[in-house]
Amino acid sequence: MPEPAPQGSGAGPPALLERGGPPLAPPSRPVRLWAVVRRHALVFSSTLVANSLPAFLEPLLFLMAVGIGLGAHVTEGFAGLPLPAWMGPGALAITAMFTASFETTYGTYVRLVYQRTYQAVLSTPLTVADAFLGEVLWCGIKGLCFTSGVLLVFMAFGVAQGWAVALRPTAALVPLVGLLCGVLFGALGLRVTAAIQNLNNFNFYITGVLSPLALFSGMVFPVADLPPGLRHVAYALPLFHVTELNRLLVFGPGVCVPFVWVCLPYLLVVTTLVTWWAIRAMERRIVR
Amino acid sequence: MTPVLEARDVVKRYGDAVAVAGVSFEVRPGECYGLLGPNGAGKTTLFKLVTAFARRDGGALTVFGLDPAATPSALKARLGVVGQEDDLDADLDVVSNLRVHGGFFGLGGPALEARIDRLLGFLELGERRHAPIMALSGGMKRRLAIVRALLNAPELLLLDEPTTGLDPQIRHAIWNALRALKAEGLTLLLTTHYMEEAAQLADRVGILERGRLIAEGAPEALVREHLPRFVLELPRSRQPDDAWRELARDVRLTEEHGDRVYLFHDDEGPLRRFQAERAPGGAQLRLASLEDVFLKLTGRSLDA
Ligand SMILES: Nc1ncnc2c1ncn2[C@@H]1O[C@H](COP(=O)(O)OP(=O)(O)OP(=O)(O)O)[C@@H](O)[C@H]1O
Ligand SMILES: [Mg+2]
Repeated sequence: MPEPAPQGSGAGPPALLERGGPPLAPPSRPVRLWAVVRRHALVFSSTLVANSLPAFLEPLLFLMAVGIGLGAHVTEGFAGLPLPAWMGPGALAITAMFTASFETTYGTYVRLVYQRTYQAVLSTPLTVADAFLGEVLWCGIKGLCFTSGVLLVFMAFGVAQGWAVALRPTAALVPLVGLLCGVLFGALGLRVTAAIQNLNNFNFYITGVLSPLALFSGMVFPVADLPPGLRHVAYALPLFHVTELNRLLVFGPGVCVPFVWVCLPYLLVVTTLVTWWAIRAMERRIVR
Repeated sequence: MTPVLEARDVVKRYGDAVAVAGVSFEVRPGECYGLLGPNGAGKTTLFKLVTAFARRDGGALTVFGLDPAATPSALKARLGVVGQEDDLDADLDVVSNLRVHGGFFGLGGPALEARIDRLLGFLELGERRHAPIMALSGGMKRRLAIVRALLNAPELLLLDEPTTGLDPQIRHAIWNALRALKAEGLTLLLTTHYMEEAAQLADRVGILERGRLIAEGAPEALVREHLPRFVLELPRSRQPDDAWRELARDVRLTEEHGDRVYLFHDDEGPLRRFQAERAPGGAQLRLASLEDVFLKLTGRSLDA
């Protein structure tokens, strides 16, 4: 006997949409932010090598050039530290700053203008504040990860060159400073992006703002050695506080400015203000 | 029945330009409402007001009884949106696009995966799960955008020109999909400047021009209300002669637009006789359509 023909369920094809339940409620703020972070993490992980290798390679080459090249001629660094050891905390700060800055300048601009990513994102329960808080948070996470990586490189350097004994256990907290620095410069980049009409204009921000910040951050030489006027300007700049905080955690208060305790509150306040400023500007750019 | 969407005298300005100039309409549960209008009519702007991308300058707008200006998140959680332009995430592949988008609604896990599978199958994208967005054709991208808009099982689906720029085959596939969704009770609001699309899908259409709703109703009813049944479309290549004048006495309506003349009549007979005996080549006898309504009301073509 032939098998009976297979029978359908009789109820027709399953419903495409599950309708009839209660209306879908928007997710909570943490869930929304996590969803944004997850998006960036997914994109990042699919291009891991291209994204992270330069970020590690750059400070590594820098430390090598300074440590092996310049260090051979400069026998004495600052505050009793050899030059590469002195520069490490600044290199850590700069790593977090540039990683975060590229993400929310070129990266965000391309998503905003060319890929229309936010048009889709903002058609969901997410608000402009959710989308960009999530993005800034992602910058923080990137800052944390890259700082951790460069910290390991830096410590290996210390072992190789024999000054690792000077390192303090609190150095393990440096990635958290990287997080804060990532959020701060992620937000600052976002504020610039909100104002910019052409991708090329970011060059002004990178070379006109970020590079000077790096030079006067106290990475290469102590800011205290600058003439008074310039010194006070440098003290007010955010990257100085990141570098100084890193130096405190890595080598202890002995190598820091006397007012190093201001650095953390300063960074927390500035980061909050800049984030708020950036999100307001993005709201004005997107919602018309 | 309370409408799903209700617009009352909605106004939106961009500087001195008025994009939406006092529009009122409602979308009822389970219906497909078509906003028909030429480029720049204000269709996308109306959608932007619903999704809180644009600030309203006047009037009242509610969806599910919620004002997008006051509670955008609660409203958007229940909405599906297919935008006019491709806004798929080019940095992610097909399935990641859907997972990430589901995440924005707080969805995830096996329930979301099952939905993704079902909807990809429904729009025949199952084999493209892992394709990068760049590798998709225009038609696939549009279908994927529809899949994405359905992930949250929306109560209202907004579609901004869902088939513009697609080939006829894909267009029909999308129409079939939208009809199947409507059969499940989904409420649809779509914009288009294709008459045929409106006639195929919409229970009611609103004709939008320069930010104003100039006519509204069921497609056939609109045509019936504004025009006789038949139309003979002629090139205006000659000066009217006696035969024209004789016919003109008989026809209910004559319209002239560009290089065409349109003769309307409730009966086919007189128009057919004229076409056979007197009309120059290139004359076309057909049923009056929404396009003719638009022409009559605005003096210009919808596709312009
Ligand atoms: N951000 C904006 N700034 C200034 N004017 C705008 C803006 N967005 C739209 N407009 C103007 O508002 C009017 C309506 O535009 P809208 O995009 O809503 O039209 P549309 O009906 O969607 O047209 P199309 O069929 O071309 O998509 C147009 O005149 C347009 O130029
Ligand atoms: Mg439009």
